[in-house]
Amino acid sequence: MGKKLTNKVLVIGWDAADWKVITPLIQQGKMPTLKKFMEEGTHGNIKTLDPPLSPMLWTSIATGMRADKHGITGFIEPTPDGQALRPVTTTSRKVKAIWNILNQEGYKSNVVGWWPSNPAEPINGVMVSNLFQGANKGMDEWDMPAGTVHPESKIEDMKKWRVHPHEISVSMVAPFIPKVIKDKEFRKEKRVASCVKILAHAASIHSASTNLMRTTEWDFMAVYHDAIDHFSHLAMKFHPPYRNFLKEEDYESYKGIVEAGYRFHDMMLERTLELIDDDTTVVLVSDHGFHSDHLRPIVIPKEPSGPAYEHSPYGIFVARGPGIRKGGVISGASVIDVTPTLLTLLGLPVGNDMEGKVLTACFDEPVEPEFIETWEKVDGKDGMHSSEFREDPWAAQEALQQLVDLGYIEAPGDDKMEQVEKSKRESLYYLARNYIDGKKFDEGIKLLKEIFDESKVIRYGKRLASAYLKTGQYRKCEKLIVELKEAQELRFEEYKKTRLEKDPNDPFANKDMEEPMYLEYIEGLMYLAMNKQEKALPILNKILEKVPHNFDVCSSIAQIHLARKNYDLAARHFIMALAIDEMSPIIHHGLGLSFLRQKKYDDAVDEFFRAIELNFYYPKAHYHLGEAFFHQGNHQESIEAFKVVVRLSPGTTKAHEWLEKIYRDHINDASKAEEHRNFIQKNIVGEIVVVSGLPRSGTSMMMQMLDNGGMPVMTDKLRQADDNNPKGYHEFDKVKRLHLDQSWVKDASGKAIKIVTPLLNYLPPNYRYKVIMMEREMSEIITSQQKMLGKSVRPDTLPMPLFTAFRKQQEKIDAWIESQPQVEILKVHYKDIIDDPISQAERINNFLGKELSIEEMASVVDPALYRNKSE
Amino acid sequence: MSDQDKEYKITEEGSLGLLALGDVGVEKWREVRAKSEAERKAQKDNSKNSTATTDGEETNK
Repeated sequence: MGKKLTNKVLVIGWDAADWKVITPLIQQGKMPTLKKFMEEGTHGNIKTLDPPLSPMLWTSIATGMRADKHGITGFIEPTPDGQALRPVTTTSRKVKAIWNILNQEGYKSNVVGWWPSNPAEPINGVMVSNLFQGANKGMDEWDMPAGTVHPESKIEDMKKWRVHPHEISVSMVAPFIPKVIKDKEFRKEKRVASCVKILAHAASIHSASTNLMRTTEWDFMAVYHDAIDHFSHLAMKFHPPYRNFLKEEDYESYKGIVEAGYRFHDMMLERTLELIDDDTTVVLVSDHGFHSDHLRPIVIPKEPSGPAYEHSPYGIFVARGPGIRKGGVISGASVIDVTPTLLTLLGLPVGNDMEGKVLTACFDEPVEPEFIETWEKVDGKDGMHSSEFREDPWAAQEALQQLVDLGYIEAPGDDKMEQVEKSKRESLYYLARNYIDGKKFDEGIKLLKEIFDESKVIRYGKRLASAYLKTGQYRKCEKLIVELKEAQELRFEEYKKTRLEKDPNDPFANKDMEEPMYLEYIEGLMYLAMNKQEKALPILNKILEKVPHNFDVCSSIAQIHLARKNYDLAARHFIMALAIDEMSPIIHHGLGLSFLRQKKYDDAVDEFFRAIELNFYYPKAHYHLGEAFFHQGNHQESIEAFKVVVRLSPGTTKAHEWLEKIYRDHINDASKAEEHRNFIQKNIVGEIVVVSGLPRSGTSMMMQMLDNGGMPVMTDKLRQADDNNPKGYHEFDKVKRLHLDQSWVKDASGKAIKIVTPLLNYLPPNYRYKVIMMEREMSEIITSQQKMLGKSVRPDTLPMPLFTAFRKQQEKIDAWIESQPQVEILKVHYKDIIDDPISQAERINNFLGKELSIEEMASVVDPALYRNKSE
Repeated sequence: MSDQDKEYKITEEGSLGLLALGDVGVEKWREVRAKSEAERKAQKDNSKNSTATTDGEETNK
């Protein structure tokens, strides 16, 4: 058992709580409890998972696992008889929640309102399920559904803490909707009724939880409030500032709902914190955020779970109490990190099968988390329902269908079965998105393909196209986009006709009823990935006009402009990206660089500082900070920044050059200048051109091009030409051992050398590198590799684990390159060389700053050797 | 600050502050409501009785 940092833990869930709403309220003194709570602890953003659907997410929070492992894949599931649908239940959860683990370890837990938690689990403590607060009947006949409370002895006691909407008075609603005070008729409005209901639900959960806090002994408690999410779905569109498509009267009536909702939660938090002792660590968390600014969608797509489009990717995380650092800020947290972090706080090991990490940065002392293989195999009384009670509802539904087919039981009505089938498909769609989000591309693609082929639902096809893009299957992606565009056009015409027949001015008769411009978005990113910036840019710009809240689009456009030296445009798009995710160090660095190149040094310094604050190990940001300080005339600060660069990335040539220059010309410290000059002379051996990429991506062809064009190349000719590479491999055998021996690298100075991608980050930092990164359709690379290895390749299948592994390697190397100031990169696509060798040879020549023979370079390209083309 | 240190004036209408107090607030509020309702009912009964008496007197006149 590890070191125990706390004895008691209280987890409070605020569904959809978002810093963008909270921060201004705190600044205005409207959430004083949360302000104090934050000051006394550590806080930060917490990233949601895709799809951002609450039952999946809250189960991920409670288990540290994604939906494919925990089994909750949506809002609904079939009833055991398969005849109808019902809200998801605890019996569908396949793994232990944290309270089950704690149960085994002898802890006493209370759980209130968690989604899903019905039927309540038989834990050592009290569980009040998520069906507790619902009220579909009047007060006199207000029953509580079966399974709402465990233990049974607590049922009557808990019942009385429910607050019925009929009890909510005008003075309670007035802070949300002041108009109700004077206008009696207005009290009957639908939105007023919804507000009343949400408030009653929140009060019910709060009353039950405060009662349990006061009257029971507990070591762990989890309380879930859905009210912020519900208030936000109800009225975020009316949240200030006013937007001109709203009716002014509606805006005036409902503009205070969201703010009042948050303030009410602050009041409830105050009371909750009064009821704990100093021995308790409190964690406040949300599962996702909620767009509250210009990113609010104007139209909610008419599709299942459409309202989730209002969710934003970052929620809140705040922790306070024993074991937690005071005044701390964390970054990079995810909802799946909560359970591993809580287990570590309580001195318990984290399951290796949990997908989240321990947020050690929020602890007040260094902690080495402990791990076990899995908690699932640890025996003991875990307080879960017995295994015969638990079942996969969809599997149960299939088994039921088999009985129907065999004639053993009567089939439900056609409509019902169709509804169940549709819901099952939708659930698989969420599961597939969950796989893709978790980078389990093979499972995700397989599922999406199945449900798309079966249903031809365009949404499914779009996600499939996106998955093809993410796995580098550009041809498949391109082909599917064409198919989907045609289908979308046809469907839109039908849809428009039906809508406009009913209402010629129907504002919903537009193309963006589902995921606005998502297809174009994939297309734009696809061209970008294929290095076709000229095709990508107009598409991405068009998307940005219509959907200004897409982070990837903003940042991609910004990076294109930065590469093309359009610094003003780059800065504008980086700023737009930061409006969506202000916690991205790469974007802050990009913006700083755009400012630096426009000679806006003060702004540049601010941005580099922000990037470093978010990721200190970012040598390139320190490097450019040094450059910006230098231009400001702050030579001492500049020196400090460059010193950090050489500390983080020892031997970085350019940083030593800067240091030599500043000491010599500005500080008049000749000895220090000499120190750096000597360092450069002794250690910085020069520049190396590196041809890189995955095996079979065209690296040999590139080496031949350089060789033929007049560039000295470093090869030992040990590996002879063969059928796979008839013109030779142009390799240097010692490269294979680069991770063990770098002594020979000095001989590569001034030459071009081939180094496969996975070895790049073993290159010593005391050289300048110009990396030509070869890219090729991933399916072609893998097919070619498989053939080379003598493995049989079926045209319709590809080894997906290899896709995933290569993808991960590529991401790792991209991150390394991004952080290294001494590395410059040019991405070259294999097919572009085949299609137009001359212009690609020119690009390469410009990048290298050499005067190679373009014609000679191009002459080695033989389209006949382009085999293993993907379809 | 303990519960005893705070004073809340509870009205029949209640308030958000009362709901925010949780079970204690809801319980006290319901007590006040029940008491007020009982008082109103008693008043109504009294007034009914008194009207009945008056009516009777009038009828008797």
